[in-house]
Amino acid sequence: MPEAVLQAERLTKQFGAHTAVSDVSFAVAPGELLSIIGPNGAGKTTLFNLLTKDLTPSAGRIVLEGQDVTALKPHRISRLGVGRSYQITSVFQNLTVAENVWVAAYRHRHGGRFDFLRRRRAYAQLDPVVGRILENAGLESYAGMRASELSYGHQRMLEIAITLATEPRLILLDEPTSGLSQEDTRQVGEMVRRLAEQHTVVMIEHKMSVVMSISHRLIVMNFGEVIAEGEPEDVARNPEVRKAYFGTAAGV
Amino acid sequence: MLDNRLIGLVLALAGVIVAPLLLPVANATELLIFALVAASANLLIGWSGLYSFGQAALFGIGGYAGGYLLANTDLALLLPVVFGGLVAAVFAVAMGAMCVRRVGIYFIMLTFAFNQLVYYIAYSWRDVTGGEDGLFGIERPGALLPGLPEIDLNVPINFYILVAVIVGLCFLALLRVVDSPLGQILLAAKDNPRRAGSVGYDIHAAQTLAFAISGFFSGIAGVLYGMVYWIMPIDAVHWLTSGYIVFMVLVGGTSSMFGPLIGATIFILLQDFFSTLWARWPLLFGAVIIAVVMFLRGGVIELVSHVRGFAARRRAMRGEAGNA
Repeated sequence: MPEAVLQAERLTKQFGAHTAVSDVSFAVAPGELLSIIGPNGAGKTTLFNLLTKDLTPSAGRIVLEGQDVTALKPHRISRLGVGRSYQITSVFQNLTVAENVWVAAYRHRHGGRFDFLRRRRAYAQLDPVVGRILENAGLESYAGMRASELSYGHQRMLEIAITLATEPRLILLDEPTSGLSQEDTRQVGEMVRRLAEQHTVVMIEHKMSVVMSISHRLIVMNFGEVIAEGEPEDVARNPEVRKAYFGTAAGV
Repeated sequence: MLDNRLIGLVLALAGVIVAPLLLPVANATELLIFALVAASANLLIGWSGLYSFGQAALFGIGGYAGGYLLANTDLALLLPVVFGGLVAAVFAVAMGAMCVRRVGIYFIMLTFAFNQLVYYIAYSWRDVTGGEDGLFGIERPGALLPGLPEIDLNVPINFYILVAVIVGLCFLALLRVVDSPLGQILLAAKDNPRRAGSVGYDIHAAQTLAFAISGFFSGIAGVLYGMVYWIMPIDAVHWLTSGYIVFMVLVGGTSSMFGPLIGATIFILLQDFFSTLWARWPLLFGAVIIAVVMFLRGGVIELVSHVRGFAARRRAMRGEAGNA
C-alpha cells in the first residue's frame, strides 16, 4: 500500500469539559477523494481546524507524508502542500478578485518572500497563472472587482480558487456547496470531481447528492467520534449511520 | 492609479516649495519631519491594521541615537541620520515581534507600554539623553558625507532643503514598499489574517518587518527633528506625541500614503499657527477629530475621491445628455 498522504492518529480536541473531537484516526491515500459527513455539531470542522493547526489538538498526532507535523504552525503546514477552503467564505474582502488569487499564487511560486524592494509588477510571470486560475473558476470577467462585491456563489468559487492557487497536493474543502443553489451545487460538485482527478481531496459535505456521486470513500462522524467508514454504498446501508441521521435504525 | 499618484507627488512637491514661504522655516521643517513619521506610521496603521500608539518611541530612539552622535562626535551628517534609523529599526523589531502577537485593544496597550518604557529610560538615563532637560548640543555638520564639500546648514533654508530631499527620498521608498509584494501581503493579512496564514504566510513575521521599516524611517525623522532646534526634547518620546501621530494619520486618511501628509499639515497648522492666534487651540484638535470621524471616515484624502466621483458623474450625465 502506498504511503498515506495524511494520517490522523487519535486526534482529540477538548474545549473545557466538552470533547469536540474524540480519538479520531484515519488515513488518506494518494489520489483519494474522501468525504467526511455527519450531523451538525459532529466535530467535522473542528477536525479540519486540527489538521491545519488553526486549532491545537489536545491529544494525538498528525502525520503528513511520513512527517510528524503536529507541532507546526498553520503557515508551515500550508507550505508543505496542504490547501484549505473554509465553510464560511473566507476571502480577502477588500482586495480585488485578481489580488486574492495573486496573494496565494505569489506565496506558492516565490516561497512567500517578503520582497519590499521591487514592485508587484516586477512579477509579471504571475499574471498568466492568475489569469488561468480565474478562468478555470469562471471569474475572469470579475478580476478587477472587489471580492466583497461578488455574489455569494462567486465568492464560494473564489474561495476554492485561492486554495488552488497555492497548488496544494492535499486539498481540504469545508462544505464547498454550502448555501449554494441547486445549479451552483451541481457545478461545484463537478469541479470537485475534476479536482480529485489530479489531487488528493478531503471534503466535508452535507449534500448527499454530491457526496454519494463523487466520493471514493466516506467517514461518518457523530458526537466527535468516527462511527462508520467505508465506500459510499456500504456506509449508506450502515444502521448506525441511519440512526445518527434519521434518529432511527428503520429504513427510510 | 498611476496618474493619481503623479498628481499626489506634484501637489506634495508644490507644498514643499510653498511651505517655507507661508510658515516660519523651522515650522515648515517640522512639517516635513512629521509628514515622514506619519507616513511611516501609516505602513502600520493603514497597510497592516496595527494601531500603534508607540510611534513616538521609534521616533525618539532614532532622535536620541543620532542626536548623541551629532552632539558628541564630528561625523558627517548622513552617518548619524542613518544610524538613528537603524537603531530605531532594531528596537522596532523587538517591539513589533512582541506586540503583533496580540490584537485589538491588547495590541494598542502593548505598544503604549513600550512607549512609556522608552520614555522612562530617556527620563532616567541622563548621561546619554539629558533626562528631563533633553539632549543638548546637537550640531548640523556641514559635510553630508566624509570628503564632501561643506554646506552652511545653519542657514535655515539650506537646512530646510536638505530635510526636504531626505524626507522626499524616504517617502518615495515608502511608496515603493506599499507597492511591493510585502505591501500586498500586509493588506491581505489585515483583511483576513487566518486566511493569509492558511495560504502560507507567516503574518507575524510580515508585520514585524513592517515595524522594522516603519521604525527605520521614523528613526531618521527623529534625528532630523533633533537638528531643527539643536535639542532632542523628552516630549518627543512622550505617548502624547504617539497620539498626535495617530491623529495625523487618521485625519489625513489611511487609504493612501498621501493621507498622512495632509494630516501632518493640518497638525502643524493647528499647533504652530493657530496656537499663536488662540491660546485654546487644542479645542480645534477635538473639533477636527469629531468632524473627520462623523463626516469623513476615510480622512481628508476621501474628499479627493468624493470630488472625483462627483466630477465623473457630471461627465457621465453630460455624455448621456449629449447622446440623447
